[in-house]
Amino acid sequence: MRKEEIGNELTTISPLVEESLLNLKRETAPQGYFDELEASVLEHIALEKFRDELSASETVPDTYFDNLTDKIMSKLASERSISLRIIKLVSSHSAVKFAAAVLFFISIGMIVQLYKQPEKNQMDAITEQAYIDYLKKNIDDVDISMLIQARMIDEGVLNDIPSYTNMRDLKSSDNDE
Amino acid sequence: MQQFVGHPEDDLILELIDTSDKKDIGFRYLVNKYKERLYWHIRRMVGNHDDADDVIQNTFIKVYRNIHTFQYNASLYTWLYRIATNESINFLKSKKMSGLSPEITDYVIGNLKQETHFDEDFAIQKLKAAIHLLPEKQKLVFNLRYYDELPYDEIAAITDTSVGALKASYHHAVKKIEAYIKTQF
Repeated sequence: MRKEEIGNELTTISPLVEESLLNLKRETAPQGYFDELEASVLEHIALEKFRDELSASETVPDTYFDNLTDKIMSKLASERSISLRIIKLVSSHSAVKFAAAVLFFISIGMIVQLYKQPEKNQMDAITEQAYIDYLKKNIDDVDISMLIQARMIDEGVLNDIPSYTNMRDLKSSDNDE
Repeated sequence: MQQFVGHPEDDLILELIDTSDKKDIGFRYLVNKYKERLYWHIRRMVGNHDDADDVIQNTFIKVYRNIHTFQYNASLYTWLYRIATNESINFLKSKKMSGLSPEITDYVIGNLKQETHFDEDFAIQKLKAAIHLLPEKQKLVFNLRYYDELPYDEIAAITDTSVGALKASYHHAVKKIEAYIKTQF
């Protein structure tokens, strides 16, 4: 119906064109083209979608690149200082040896302290009477003056020791002469 | 999935495209339904198969990207024609083929010679050349009216032109073809 209407319209405007167009062979597309077109279009679209997804995943926060340089530089600086410290410590043998020596001496000191502790306790357990008894038997002036100087014994205690008082009296008469 | 003997209605195609997990299925129907009509429309605009192939692929990609902007107050078919027309015109512009410069005439006639069958006579070649060398708008109106057999109101929707202006355009186009034929023979 519409085809006829359009044909009549054309004839009215130009019978020559209408007649010429009737002789025109219908153009053709390559064989199988329309079957492949659909697949080709869908393939293009899949590619477009992939590109879109890729570009969407590649977006960054607005100010990201403004701060990125500073962030990287400060991170680099802190990492560099840590590695320098480690390298210094490892490469300097004397420092390592020194640290090892300090540790060794501390350990030795602690062990000695542990062994000393019972000895001191044993000394504390000796009574003053035992000192006096010991001195009565083994007294000589050098030892006594040393003990007094070290405040290990009180000089009053020594009055009970006859050999000490005799010796003291003798010494003082020699000095008077 | 529902199977169709022919092509599904546009409403169903659009409904499928609107459903996120069925968008590609709907789009496949759309391509299948309109590929031939749009191809011939584009081919008549650009003049040869290879260019038509490029333009139709771009057209469908554009349709896929912009289908969410489709307004239901126009028919899908009109909307697709509009995109295909714009793509064809942009293609011709990119090749600087709008107007009637001697270089363009040579290009179009060269294309037509490649496309024409060996048994087609010289007169037919000239007639095709006459149509291809029409100004863009007149060629578009002539093709939509004569080959696609569209009513003027649909052509008006595709081209954003009044029916009166389209009738005048069509008239001028036919007269130009007539004049070209007369000068060649």
